[in-house]
Amino acid sequence: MAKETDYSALVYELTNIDSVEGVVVWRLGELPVSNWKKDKYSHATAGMLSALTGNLEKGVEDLGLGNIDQLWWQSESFQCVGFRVSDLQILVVASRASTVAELRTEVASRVDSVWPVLHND
Amino acid sequence: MLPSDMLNKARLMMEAKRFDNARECVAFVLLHFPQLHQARLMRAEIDFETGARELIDDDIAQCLSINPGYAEALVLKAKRLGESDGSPEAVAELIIRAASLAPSNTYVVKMMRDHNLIPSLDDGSLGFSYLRSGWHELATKSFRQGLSNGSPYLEVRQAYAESLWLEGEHEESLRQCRLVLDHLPSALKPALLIAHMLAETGRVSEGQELLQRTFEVDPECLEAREMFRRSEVTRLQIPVPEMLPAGGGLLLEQMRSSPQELQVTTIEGSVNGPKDVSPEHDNQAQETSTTVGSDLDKTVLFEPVVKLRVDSGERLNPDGEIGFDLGLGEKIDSLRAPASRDIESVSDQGDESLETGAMLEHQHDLVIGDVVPRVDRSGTSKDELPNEYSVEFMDTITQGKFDEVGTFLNTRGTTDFQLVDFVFNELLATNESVSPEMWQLFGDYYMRRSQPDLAYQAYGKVING
Repeated sequence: MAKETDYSALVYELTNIDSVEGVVVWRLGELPVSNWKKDKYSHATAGMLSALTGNLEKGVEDLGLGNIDQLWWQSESFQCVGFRVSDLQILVVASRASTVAELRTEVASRVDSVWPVLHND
Repeated sequence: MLPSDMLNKARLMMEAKRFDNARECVAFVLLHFPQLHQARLMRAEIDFETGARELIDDDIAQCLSINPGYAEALVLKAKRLGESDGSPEAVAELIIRAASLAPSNTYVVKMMRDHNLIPSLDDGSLGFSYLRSGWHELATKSFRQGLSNGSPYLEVRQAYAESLWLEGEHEESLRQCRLVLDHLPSALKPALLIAHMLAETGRVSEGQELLQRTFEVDPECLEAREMFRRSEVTRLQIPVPEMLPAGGGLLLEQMRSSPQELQVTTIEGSVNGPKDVSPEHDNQAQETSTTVGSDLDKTVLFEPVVKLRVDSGERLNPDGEIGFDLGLGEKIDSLRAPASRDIESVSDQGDESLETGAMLEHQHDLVIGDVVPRVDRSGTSKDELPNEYSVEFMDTITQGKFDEVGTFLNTRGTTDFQLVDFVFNELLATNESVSPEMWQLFGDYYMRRSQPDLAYQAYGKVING
């Protein structure tokens, strides 16, 4: 099996954002990597979230509505912003109280800062 | 009598090495239904056994033109090619194609073993596997990939059309069906698919007319019933099966009263349906032949006793022997028995209501579909394991050997998708007691395979138990 990319730097960087509760990052054909501020979320949570997002993307694509570049959902406790950056997929789960626009901007800036590191890998 | 009943009896005669009688039965069916491909294949099988070579190639070609995915016909074609010093590569290719279509068919497996072949892992094979497992979306994807890679085989395109149809992508399915029909105008499955799709788009009378035209090759509408059963709705009315004229019963009666001595063959060790067993296909069966004198009760002559034995030593029939009728009896209750039975013999008992076509159809529905588990031509149920590895793999999972399962998924699982998919499907379907950690392994595996839908199911088991 091919060696999987190390996203730990990116994940660590994104989890450091104040309002962020957890981060899931993966590339197509690889396992998701995640980090949570609280321990109660298991590895299966990351798998479930990435699989769920993959299903949603596929469904949208099958309907002929194109490819999802960004997504956002909100529950009574959390909100989640999803990005596709190149072939990388990022889910950022944050508290509901945070402002989504600010969250997007912050995530984009952190991804930019880590991007050269990822490419060097 | 239905043509399939007559063919089932002919098959049993073939097993008992009574090729002349079997040929007579098949000839009788072909006299009334000359395009019935099952009958033509059986005639080809008999010809192969008896050394007659005039019609065999034509019969095989005819079978494949009606159903390009007819595994048994492909195997017979391979045997025929091998016999005529055909290239070993061509023979191997035919056997591998048959194995893709019917991997559990013991006859095909034997041919694979005899020729030292390994199953193909191409997209087409994977597609067939998914289609059998009911994963239509994956099947469609695999077939599409196979065709884009230039697969030249019409069975792949036909199966692609079928999986598209099952997914409700009628427009593309219609296009694929027409492509198949361009090459094989008498192909049955595309014609049925088109008929169904026409009806579903409001053109019921055109669909019905097309369905009528398939009677020539499927007089009992068995294929149509099987196919339309898989669709949620159908506006087509499947007519009453075509019956053979009364001469069929008379022919059997004549055979039964024939004074010749009869070889009754007791077959042990095989649990496959009779359609799966060809005269050469007795590697797993230990046959003991007994000559029965002509002074015995003639009914007995037509009721060979078959004892079932399973390799593990477990008996499928703990109550004792299972008998089935080769001639005019009505009891067909063994696992080896055909999926239909002699309705004529039921109506002979004086139940006048059975004489109506509708009731006959109802009876036939019952015996082929609802009461008796559906057995395909390979003689194996659709749920049967694809190979011995799956049993071993399943055991490893249920015993909770994480390391072994993880290693397996990371090694063999990267090539043998069919095996892993099959086992995963079985675990989901049977609600086996599998630990969350094990489901986690499957979830990770499917994420690596970029199959989020399956990964989601696996991770769901981790979270929801």
